[in-house]
Amino acid sequence: MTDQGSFSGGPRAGFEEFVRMRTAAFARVAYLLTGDRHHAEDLVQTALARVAVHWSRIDDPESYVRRSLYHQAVSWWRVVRRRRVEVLVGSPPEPQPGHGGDPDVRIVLAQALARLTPKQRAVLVLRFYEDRTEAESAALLGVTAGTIKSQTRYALRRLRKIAPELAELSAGSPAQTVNHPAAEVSA
Amino acid sequence: MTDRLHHALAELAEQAPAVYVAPDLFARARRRHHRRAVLATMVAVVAVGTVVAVGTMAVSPVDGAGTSQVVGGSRVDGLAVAVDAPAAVVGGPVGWSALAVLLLLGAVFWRHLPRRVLLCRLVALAVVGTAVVVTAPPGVALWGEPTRQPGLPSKVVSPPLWTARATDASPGPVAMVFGGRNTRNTFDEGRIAMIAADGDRYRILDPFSYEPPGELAVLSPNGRYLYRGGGLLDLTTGQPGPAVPGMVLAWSDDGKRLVYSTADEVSGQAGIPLVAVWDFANGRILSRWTVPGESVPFGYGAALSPDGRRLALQVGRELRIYRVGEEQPERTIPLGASRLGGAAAWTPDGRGLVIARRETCIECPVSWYTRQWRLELLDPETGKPVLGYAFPALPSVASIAVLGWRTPTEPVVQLRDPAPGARDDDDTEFTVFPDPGPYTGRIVVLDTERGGQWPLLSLPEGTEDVAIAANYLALPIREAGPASYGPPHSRIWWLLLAGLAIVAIIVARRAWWQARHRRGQSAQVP
Repeated sequence: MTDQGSFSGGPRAGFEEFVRMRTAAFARVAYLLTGDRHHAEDLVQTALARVAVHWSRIDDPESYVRRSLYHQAVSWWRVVRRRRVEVLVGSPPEPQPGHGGDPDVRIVLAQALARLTPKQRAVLVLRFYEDRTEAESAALLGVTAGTIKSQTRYALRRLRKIAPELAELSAGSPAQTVNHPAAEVSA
Repeated sequence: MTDRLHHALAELAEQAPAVYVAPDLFARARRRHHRRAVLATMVAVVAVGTVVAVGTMAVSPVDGAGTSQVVGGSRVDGLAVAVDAPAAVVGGPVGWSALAVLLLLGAVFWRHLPRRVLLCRLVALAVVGTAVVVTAPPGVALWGEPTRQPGLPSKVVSPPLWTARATDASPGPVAMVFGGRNTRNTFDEGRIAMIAADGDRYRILDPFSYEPPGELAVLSPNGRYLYRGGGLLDLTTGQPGPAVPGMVLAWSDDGKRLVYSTADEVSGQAGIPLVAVWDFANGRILSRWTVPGESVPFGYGAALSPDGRRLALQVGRELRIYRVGEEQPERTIPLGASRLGGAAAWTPDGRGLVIARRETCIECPVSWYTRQWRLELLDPETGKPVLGYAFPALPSVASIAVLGWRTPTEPVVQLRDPAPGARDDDDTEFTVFPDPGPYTGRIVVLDTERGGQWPLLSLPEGTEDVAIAANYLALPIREAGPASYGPPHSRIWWLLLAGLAIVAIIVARRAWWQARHRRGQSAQVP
């Protein structure tokens, strides 16, 4: 956690330093929550604008922004306004330079995440990306730990159903190569 | 938790974009927050102000459970005596001005938005605001209406098209019912209007055919019941009142008795075979007389004494005085060229009876209309004129009817002045409509001590027929305030619904077109 004492100077300078240090991390969470680069950017900007308004009264801006990110991500209003324009292609996009790992897994995972509900996606990100406990996740989302537990179970089950090739990810089985149907078509 | 999922998510997160944060985000965010707070405060102030302003005038009209007040010796029931308050004026110039201010504020506060978004928001605001203002024309009271001290207003106005029906939004006891060219139109040929006794609340009735107030539409002295269309309408509820066995001709001053004739045998010049006095409280017929072969003009042909014990009935060219409970008239007075003064022809003390004598004027105010009326007071006991009353001559007047008494020496009469095109027809004095041709009605008080006259109140142009609740004549005239016309007439809602349907069709068609366009684009992607 980061508090305001970590940032020197006046409120504005402190805010700008906070933005420089933490924006990349927020962007990663936002991208996982939204699955869309533009919406992720919009989400982060909105959260930062909110924290700027209350900057002088907030002790822990990091928590505030994270809470804002998650709450905005599951907000019905934002969900309604979010319009994903998907274009189906016959082959997976070219892997971006500098990214390791299996590009097929990333693509399948991204597509599977996109078919989860915003709340299920938020729970998965909290539990498996940020490694939050159930209690911490519940506090961030403003729900009970039981809800987190059940939503996690539903999300993993749905993930396995949507993309059976991801089963080993959520089941803890050894890593295997995932053959995406689209990749087979292109091959 | 699985490490594989964690790593996969982490790899996916590495594709996150580099978020651009504007250098002045800190200041801009605070400015925007400040603007929104100011706007929200303004809206809240306006909303609270509106609620408070409307709340102060929202003394609802009578529901029949209000207080009672003694007026002219009789009780005027069901009147909610309330504080003087301005009318609720919603919509109209105020509404358009408020909408213009809102649009201006919107343009200022949203000026940083992209032009397309800004335009969309302003258009949406304009559409919603227009719908609100259009459904709330001047005087339409969506949240409350004015209530004042009971009495006749100093001025009456013509009801606009959106005025509510009395059957949809009851006005409470009314002071006056009026009709004429100003209330009727091509689509509403039978439209008559009324104004509440305790406030400038207007209502209308729009039956298929016109029933002239004071003749075919008869108002009870306390303003609660209006006989029209073959039945009584309770104006405090908007529902039908007690069933009357015939056509109401007149009420007693205390409102406890009324005289009626059998409706199916009443038709202008035709005879009225049955006239009866009806006890309103218990629905009993107290007396009935048949007058075969004669004609009883309704509107002014019958008058009950203030205590309801005697009936003056014009039968043909004679005036019969009946005592309720007796079969034969106690006196018959030949009328000659005169006729009974009206439904309120009895003096308040019951010792005199007003008749109207028709004359011909020499120096007529309207040169082409020579009919003149002069009232006389008869002693019902002797049939002789009562001396000492100086009724003024009323030249160039088409018809006259006594509506009530302001004081024992000041009768209130309705005069019909001939408008251009009216004809003085000799044989029309006993018909419902006294003359062919247009008239303009006016209400005057005759000063029988000095022989003068003065207008009681101002009627709108085109008013021809008036019925006044007689009990309010003795009260001081109250100053007319801004008028209210009740909730919008149902046709306003139908028009709005039709407009919304058109908009919905346009939007649906556009959405369908866009969806089709998108499907076409997707199909073109290889």
